Amino acid sequence: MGRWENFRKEIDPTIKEIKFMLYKIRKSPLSLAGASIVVFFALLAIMAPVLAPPVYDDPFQMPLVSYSATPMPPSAEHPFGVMNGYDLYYGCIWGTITAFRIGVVVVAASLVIATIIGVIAGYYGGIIDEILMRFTDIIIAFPGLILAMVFVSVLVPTGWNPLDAVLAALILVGWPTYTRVIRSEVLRIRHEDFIEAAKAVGCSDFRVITRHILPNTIYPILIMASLDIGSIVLTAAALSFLGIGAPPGFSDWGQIISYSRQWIYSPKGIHAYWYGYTIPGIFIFTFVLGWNLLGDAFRDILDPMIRRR
Amino acid sequence: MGLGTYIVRRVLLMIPTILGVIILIFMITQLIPPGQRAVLYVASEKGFQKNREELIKEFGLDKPWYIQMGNWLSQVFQGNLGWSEYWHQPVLQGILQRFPYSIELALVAAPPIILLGIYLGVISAVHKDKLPDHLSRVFAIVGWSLPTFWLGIILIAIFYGNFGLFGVGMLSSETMKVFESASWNRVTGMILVDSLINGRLDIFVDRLAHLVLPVTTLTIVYIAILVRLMRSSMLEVLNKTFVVAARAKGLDLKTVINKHARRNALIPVITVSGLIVAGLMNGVVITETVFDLQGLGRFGAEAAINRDIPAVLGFSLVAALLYVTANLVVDVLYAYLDPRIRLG
Amino acid sequence: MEKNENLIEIRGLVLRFFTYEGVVRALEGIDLDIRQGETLGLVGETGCGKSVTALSTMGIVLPPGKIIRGDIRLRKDGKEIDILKLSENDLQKIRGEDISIVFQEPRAALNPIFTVKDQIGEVLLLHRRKELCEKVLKKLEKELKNAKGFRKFILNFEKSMYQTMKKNPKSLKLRIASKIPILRRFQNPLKDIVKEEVVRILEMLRIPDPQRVAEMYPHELSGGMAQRVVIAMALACNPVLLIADEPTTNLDVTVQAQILHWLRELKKEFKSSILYITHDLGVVAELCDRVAVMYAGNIVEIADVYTLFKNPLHPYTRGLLESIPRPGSPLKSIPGTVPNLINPPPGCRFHTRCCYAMPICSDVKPKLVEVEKDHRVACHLFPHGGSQNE
Repeated sequence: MGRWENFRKEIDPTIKEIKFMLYKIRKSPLSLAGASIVVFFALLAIMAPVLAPPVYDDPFQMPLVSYSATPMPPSAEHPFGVMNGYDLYYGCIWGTITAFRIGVVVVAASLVIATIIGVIAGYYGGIIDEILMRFTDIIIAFPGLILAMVFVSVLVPTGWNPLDAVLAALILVGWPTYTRVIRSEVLRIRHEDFIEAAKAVGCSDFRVITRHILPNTIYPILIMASLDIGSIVLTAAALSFLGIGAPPGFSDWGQIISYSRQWIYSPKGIHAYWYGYTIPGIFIFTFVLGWNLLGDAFRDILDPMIRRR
Repeated sequence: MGLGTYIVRRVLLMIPTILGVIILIFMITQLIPPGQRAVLYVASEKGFQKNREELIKEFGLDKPWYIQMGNWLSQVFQGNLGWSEYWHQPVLQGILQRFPYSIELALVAAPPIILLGIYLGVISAVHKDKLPDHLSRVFAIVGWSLPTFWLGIILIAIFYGNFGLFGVGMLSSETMKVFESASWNRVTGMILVDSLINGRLDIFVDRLAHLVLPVTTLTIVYIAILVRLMRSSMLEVLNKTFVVAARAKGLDLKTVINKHARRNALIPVITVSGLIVAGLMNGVVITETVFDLQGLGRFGAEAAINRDIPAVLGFSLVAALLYVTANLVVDVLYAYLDPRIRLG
Repeated sequence: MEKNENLIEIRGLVLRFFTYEGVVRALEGIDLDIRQGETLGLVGETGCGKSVTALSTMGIVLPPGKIIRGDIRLRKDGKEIDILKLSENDLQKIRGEDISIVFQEPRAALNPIFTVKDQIGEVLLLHRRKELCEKVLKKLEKELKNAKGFRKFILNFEKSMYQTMKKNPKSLKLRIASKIPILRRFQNPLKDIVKEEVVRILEMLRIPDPQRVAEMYPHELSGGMAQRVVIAMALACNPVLLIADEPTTNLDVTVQAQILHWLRELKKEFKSSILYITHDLGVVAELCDRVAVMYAGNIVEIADVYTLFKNPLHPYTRGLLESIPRPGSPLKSIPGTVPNLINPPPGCRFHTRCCYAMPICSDVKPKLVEVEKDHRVACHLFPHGGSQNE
């Protein structure tokens, strides 16, 4: 048989699985909703330059449209209102890109680091494992947001760009959880016969890891990661809200809401300046909701115990 | 191995982790230039005014890192976490003062989250794919997708803005005066407890009223994890043979679910409840900021905004220690519930 | 009662599972009788519907299954009870008391977080509460004779609690008291009595060191011991029917032999009927009085054990007997595989693997007919039965 036929044979079960997955996604209204939301935001992000043309060199800088500190309600010129002098409509649109960037970069980097460390720890065992795991445990000993706060407040004075500091902090906080999971997966299959066979045939460690161990251990953390994009964005928004995140004027949803902090502590204020927190909040909520629905659907689909009932 | 031995073993295992936490904080301090680092060693305002060069000499900040680590460790164990410029007090003092308020918030928020979470999780599993399941899963996912700070603001807008209920802050202005007066006996630091000790029921009620919104915020957001976990754990257990065997004995469904299935399903959930504690601690930081509460989370958050490094580091150290202790409690609970772990 | 009167009668039981992949026709019209005091073996491959049939006799149908039609009758105290029409409440009274079941995986049937005495005690408390209360009350009376002062007060309180329990176990007073820390110690005498009963049952079933075993957790028991405990739990209330669903399959051969020997002894003492489900014909030969052979959701042959081994009629039965490994002869197996029950073969479900298949076999499903005394077959090779029937 030709190589093409062989290849087709190999991937046929995978194709069946994917078809089943798509079927289940179509069947479940929640996951369909999640997928549509994510697609909607992706389109928003792609069309940002069209929907809100940049005013400065740095497109993420929100245009300063007024020097007065008083917020201005939505109007024809500024559909989402003005807070701290910035046009919120612009901020919300470009904030979509920021959100995607944060979510994807942090999760991808965490996955890469976690996979490397977890596989090495699990595969080689012994003292390497002990050291790596102790280190991982120490980081896990800190609640995520709090550790991120520490990193950002220490890194920024030493010259880091605040947004980069946030990304770095979130990555540093994120990889340990995945590491533990992938390490236990590696431990689980390390002594399986097919690994022993591969080694007996003379495969180098690198080859065994990349061709045999990785494909079999990576699924749980992929599922975890898809669920996490939402929480990463939430944590980043919380950091910005507290004031420890994006630099002033940067298009970031959490930042925009933080502008309303000083205005909302009176019954009059909280109603008058509703646009400062309601609209950006809806953006955050919907974005995270979409990812969470999708992640939840993935988990239900890929979880072998629950699905075929 | 009895429960007692298990506890002792776990506590001993905790020590390297605590040491590791402290060392990690130390390593972070090394990222800061020596001049600023000196502030970590200073214990009073006077010390803070001293010249940087003096301070560096005084605390040996130009010596090799292992000597510095020794210095730092001895400082920490003596209880000196540095001086907080922003809060204008020694860091340790600031922490101890505010610590009870955060505990109070967490203790009031924990029961609704845990009890409601378990209840909804069990219902979802037992009525899988039917209306109660869909409803509680939607509720849980929506809750988990809400930014904590945003939910807090919205709740303030609805209840305080519209109806004038459940004000923001620790207490209302009238009760605040009583609280700050000399006649107030501060025993535990927790207002709910102290108000009962002081015999002031009105302050008790007032504090409770001010806790309603923060606790509701935390509950809505964090109940999702618990529901999801409980549901999947329960589904696994319901498929086990001993559940069918229990039915075959003639037990009614309610007993089978509550006595046999649920207790077993709780076991893996307990192991992950450490995560919930961490989430709660994160949530407390944000909630205290939004609702203007003077707890530990607020202490750390404001310090971080204002680049007050000693306060931030001290705060995170305490937070980590609390979290490690919470995990210890969780592990002991797990051993208590599952005889397989306890008896080896 | 006559020894050969039917204890359980199953007629035309049809059960289907509604799954994502399709409707699984698990049972297609089962007819089965279990007689008083007999050990009936139910033989068949995995997936042929044995366990489902067994669970149905006590009214347990696991989702996504549904009973479409059929009749299951239990003869108890001279009356006939229609199992499938009973309410869940009434079914609960029968389960564990009149019919009980032992599962394949011994430790899986035991809840890992409760001790042996808790779990066997649970069955006793469920079905024998009145007798246990009596015992407690007797003990309390005896103590009351010599009691004075505070102790007397406590005893009287406990006495009143147990009298209430005898009359109305679910009374509010009892439920509240059992939740209040000091008050709930009134349950202690009952716990002691229950433990005594459990030890007595374990002793009666010749389980060694019963005091210690009662306090153990399931994971501390060996496989064989656990299975004995489960069987003890099943026999605790002296059921009229004990269903054993492949109880020795997961155990060592030596342990299996021990348990079978033990069961044979118990049979003489307990006089219950046993429905013994297995795929191992050797066990059937050792233990059973009659045997029913099941294939793909149908009963294909029923006979007493000697007849079945000496004169197997259905081609499947013969295939099974021939495939028992014999030293010196080559291994024989039945060609083909068990059919998919979503799309079962039409007519006789065995016809695709049968070397005697005739055209009618793929068309009409054969009925169970009596070929000789007490020997029934469902096969077109025997269309009209023996001389006694038509």
